[in-house]
Amino acid sequence: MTLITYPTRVHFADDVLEEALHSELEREGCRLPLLITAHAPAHPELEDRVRAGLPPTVKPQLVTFSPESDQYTIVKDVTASGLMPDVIIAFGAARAIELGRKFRYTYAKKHNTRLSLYAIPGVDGLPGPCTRNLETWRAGLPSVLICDPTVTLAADGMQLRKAAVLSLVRCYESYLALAYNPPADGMALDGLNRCVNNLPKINAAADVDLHREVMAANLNAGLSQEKGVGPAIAMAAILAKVPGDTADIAGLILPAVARAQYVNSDKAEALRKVLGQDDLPLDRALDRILTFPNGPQSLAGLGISKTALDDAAAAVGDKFGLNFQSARAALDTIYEKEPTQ
Amino acid sequence: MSQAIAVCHGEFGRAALYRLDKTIITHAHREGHLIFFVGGCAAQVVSGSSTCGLDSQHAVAVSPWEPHSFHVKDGRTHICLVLYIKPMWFLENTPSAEYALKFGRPDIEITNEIDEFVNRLTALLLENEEHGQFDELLFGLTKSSFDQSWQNSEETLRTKSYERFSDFRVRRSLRLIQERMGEDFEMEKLARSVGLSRPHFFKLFKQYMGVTPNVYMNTLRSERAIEELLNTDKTVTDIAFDLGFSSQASFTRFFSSNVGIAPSEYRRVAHVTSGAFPMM
Repeated sequence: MTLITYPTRVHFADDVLEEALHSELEREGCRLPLLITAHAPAHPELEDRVRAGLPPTVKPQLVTFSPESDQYTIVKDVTASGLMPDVIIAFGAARAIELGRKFRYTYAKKHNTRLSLYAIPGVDGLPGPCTRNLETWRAGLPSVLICDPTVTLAADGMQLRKAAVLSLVRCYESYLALAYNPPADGMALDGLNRCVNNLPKINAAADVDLHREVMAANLNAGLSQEKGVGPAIAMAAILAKVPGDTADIAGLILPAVARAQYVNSDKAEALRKVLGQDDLPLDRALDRILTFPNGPQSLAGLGISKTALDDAAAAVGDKFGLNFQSARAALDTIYEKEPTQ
Repeated sequence: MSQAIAVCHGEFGRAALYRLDKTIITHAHREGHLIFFVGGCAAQVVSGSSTCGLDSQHAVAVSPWEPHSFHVKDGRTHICLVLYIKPMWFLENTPSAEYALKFGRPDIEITNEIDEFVNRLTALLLENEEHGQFDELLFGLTKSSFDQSWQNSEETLRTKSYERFSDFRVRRSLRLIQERMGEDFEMEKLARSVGLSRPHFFKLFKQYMGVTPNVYMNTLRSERAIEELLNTDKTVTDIAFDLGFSSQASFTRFFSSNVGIAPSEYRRVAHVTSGAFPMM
């Protein structure tokens, strides 16, 4: 028995940001939005776009975060300012959305009022689901998602590729998760298909069509994670020193996990079809898709210490068709992998 | 003098019956805009490069942010049903919610179905009471007009209809216009503050927003003025000053030429249903 819930409104179109934000705030009658974004965002013009989308009667307050910030820092800043926000607008980075989600939870406990969370994803898409019982997956979803591919146009090819790799890993693992959830399976396969088709096209001069495809894959990957996270994502989260590393690490780990993991034959066949490599086992198909010139070659090459591998393997436990030993062995195979010729 | 016979604000946006005897200068709305002939003499609407007749056989559809003007012959009076439909409301009620009330073409032929909708809506507006069928009729009329506007259009045109591309200087100027709406500021300075010459700024703004910066600012001012007129006890003079006008007279001239009627007249006639102004 599965309860499937998608209580999120999604706007998805080129240049929809300002009108969608204006309409949603107007619809809900929100006047005191709390804006959450990075302290030194890579693309500061997004803040201008967000502010241009606010109705004239709105009085926003901006809170920025640094790499060290957490939800408590934001609660402290908001409390000090005396603002009683009626909606949270987190924009520009998955980390902003994650902090918005955590802030909403903490604020609700303190003030006994649950705020709407509007999320405007940047190139790195949505954050992963909470894994420490902070909130359930469905309660942690943004109330409104505004996906505007033009927001990511300033991102370079490297960022776009990382986003597509992370979405590919999320989709692959969501599809293999055991929960019975046909809509999430559909989104996972669609997201995977978009990643496979578009990864080879990503370069420095990516056009808006490519950005739109990657954003669609990010969205599907994020929503398909209602089924839960898989071993590559769980281990990458432990090994990543900064969130930006997660995609590189997960992209390295996934083929290694696929070599060790049992996959039921129906699902394996569906995955092989989407990966477009009918004649190859899944691990080799993934290797082929996830290996790039100048891309990461090994965990050691990403600066990860060997002692961290035990913690990462422990995160897998006896789940996902793996155990500690098989997960550890999978990580060893890519720790000092020979560069691909 | 142009008059409002009835004005109704609701979640859908607003619907009005106007008796107009003057030109309304080039302006734009955030909403999708539909104008239907109800009585009097024929009129014309200029929308982009098209000039469309407004008479018993023809209505006009104007997309959000599309600049347009209204023209009636001197000394003649035109009575019309005018709708300003919020794209979000339309999307919420439409099964294929893709096109954000962007019309395929401005000229709409009055079919029997559209005529029936117009007559029933006009009757309900004249009753000036909340009526359960009102929203349903509004949606029906908007949907019929919208669908007709896309008949015989290429599908690719339709899917491309909402595309616009960003320029960060235009984006910044939108924020500045919003922040300085109540001030008397010059476009020259605005252009400079986003790093452009005035002509280059106007060209870029028009290219990306579809309207000039002046028309855009006038739209925001009109929206704000209507909200304040209907939801506050402020005098018209106070509203004028808050919006950066030097006198009530200049505000009244601005309002009349952009909305069609005088602000005090608008306040007197308008009927506001629940959900019309959740922001206030």
